Amino acid sequence: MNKNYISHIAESKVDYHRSQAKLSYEDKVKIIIELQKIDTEMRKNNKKRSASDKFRMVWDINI
Amino acid sequence: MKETLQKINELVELGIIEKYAIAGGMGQFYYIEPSVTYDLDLIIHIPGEESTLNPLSKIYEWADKNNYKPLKEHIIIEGIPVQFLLEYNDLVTAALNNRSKIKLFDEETYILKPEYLMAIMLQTGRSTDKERLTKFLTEADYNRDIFSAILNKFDLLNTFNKFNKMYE
Repeated sequence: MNKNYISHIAESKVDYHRSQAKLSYEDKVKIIIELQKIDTEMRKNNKKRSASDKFRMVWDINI
Repeated sequence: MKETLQKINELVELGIIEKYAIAGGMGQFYYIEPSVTYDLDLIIHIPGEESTLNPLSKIYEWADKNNYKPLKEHIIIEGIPVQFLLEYNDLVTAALNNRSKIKLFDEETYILKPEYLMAIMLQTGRSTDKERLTKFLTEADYNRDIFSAILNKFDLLNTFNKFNKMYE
């Protein structure tokens, strides 16, 4: 595969993560709650992950 | 989350907690891209905690009066599981003493500075900490001089150099 293409993809991903880091905290909390919902759903279908007894609960808050 | 922060500030107003700062994942995500987390970690200083067998007892009494349920090591405050962590070493005490005052959801609150969070992640050294420290190095705005001074003061320079060799 073209090395330039791979490094271009890697650089654009770094840029994307940097831009996500600059979001407001309020927007980050909204993302975290959506991630909690996705994680909870995926956990249901993964026996190994659902067996973990680590405390997890989707936050019950209004934003 | 505003209501949770208001209730935490109420603990300070009541004198149950002397000072606190947001730490852990929710502290880190103030500076870097967020990922999944399920709790709000607070580093706290409680007045007279050294002389008490159960230093968190007044927090649990307050929670009971307010009908906030304890769940494992957390207390669910206005929908968010909050974990109260006493300062457990000199680095964490220094981090708490140098916290930043900020506003979140229009509520005044306190958060650990990025340089201290990075040093704590390095000291703790779990895989999650290493992963997030890497993100801090590329995504966060932090002061390199302050970070270096903290590493020196708390004897973490060698640990950081080893970390850098593995992750650069």
